[in-house]
Amino acid sequence: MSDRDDQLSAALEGRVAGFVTRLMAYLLDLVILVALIALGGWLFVLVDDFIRSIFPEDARLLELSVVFVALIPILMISYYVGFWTLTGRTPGKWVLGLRVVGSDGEPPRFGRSFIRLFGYFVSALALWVGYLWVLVDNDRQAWHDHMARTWVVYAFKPPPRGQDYERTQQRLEGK
Amino acid sequence: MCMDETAPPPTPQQPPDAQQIGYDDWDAYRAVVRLAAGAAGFSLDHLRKLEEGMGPSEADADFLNEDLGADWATAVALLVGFVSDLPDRVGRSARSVAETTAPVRKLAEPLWRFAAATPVGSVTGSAASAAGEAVRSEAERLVKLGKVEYATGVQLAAEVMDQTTNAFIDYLSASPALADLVSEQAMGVTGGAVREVRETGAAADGITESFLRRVLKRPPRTTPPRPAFEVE
Repeated sequence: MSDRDDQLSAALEGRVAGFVTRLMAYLLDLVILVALIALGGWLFVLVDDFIRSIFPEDARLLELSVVFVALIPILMISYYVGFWTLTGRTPGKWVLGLRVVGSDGEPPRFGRSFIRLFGYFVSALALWVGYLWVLVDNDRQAWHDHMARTWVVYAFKPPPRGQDYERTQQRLEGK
Repeated sequence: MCMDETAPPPTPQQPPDAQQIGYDDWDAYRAVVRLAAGAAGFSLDHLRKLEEGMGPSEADADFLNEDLGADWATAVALLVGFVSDLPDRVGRSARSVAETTAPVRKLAEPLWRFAAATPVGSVTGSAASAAGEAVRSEAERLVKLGKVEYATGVQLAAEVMDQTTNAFIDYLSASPALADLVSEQAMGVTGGAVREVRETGAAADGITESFLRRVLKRPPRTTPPRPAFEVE
């Protein structure tokens, strides 16, 4: 990394990220999620075919397609809430060097992460105005950020070695 | 070089053990590749020129048409082995050639000894130059002196060529140090791309925001804001 890169990283580190970066991270996460869903769908088709080859269709108690559709929201919640709570960054945010932090400067807790995800839908339902709000907000916060009292900051520098792991352990232990 | 012909080949001073590769940067790896490619290319070119100068009665072989002259093919095979930095394996190959044909043995011996004394870790720009010079002189001697039976020469040369080439590929693929270098380089490239994306994104953030603030007639902002919790 050159001196110029260092200076730029240092100047931006910890500051609130803007719309374009967040949009790119959001789209990247969307691509990853769609890929995961497609992969899951493919696996379900395989399992479904296998079951059909063994049992007659009439004897089946549950349509696997229903199960799969029901699992999609769970996958989305796990993806967003899980990553935000444990590390503060989804894979998309990691690529773009972003991190979600709460009012204590740490990744949001489970409850706030859940509220933030709920805010995603609210922001989207209002014709995406909630997302575009970043462009005009003085603190560069979207609606879901206001709802969960979170900020998305630039975090180009990796966290100290082991910090993410320790935090993950603490969160999983409910501390 | 006076050596007991019945004695087994001596142990190379520094066998090409992957753990002994002391490279700490990508340039060293590229030096190996440059050495191999450069020396092999130089040797072929040099040998072709020598062949042209020898006249049809002395050198009627055409390497590219698989009408191999034994001296040519053997020299090329040994040189490929040499530049592949596989002293022990090349040594064995050279030895097998040397044990079969007396004239080649005399020529292979110093080449093998030189290769055995050249650890991979010492390959630098100066070593590459020295190796290139050694390749040139040995190639010249092999071409001038190597008068081997045609069929035997072709067979041995092909064998040596196969062995050294395969060994070189095996060596590169099995070397954890080189694999680490490749991995580090790949990570470096990836890291550079990620950094570029981040910087571009951050710049785009600023441009977009400044444009909108101008449209909304808000005062321009030179730096992005900090989270409110930090200024509270």
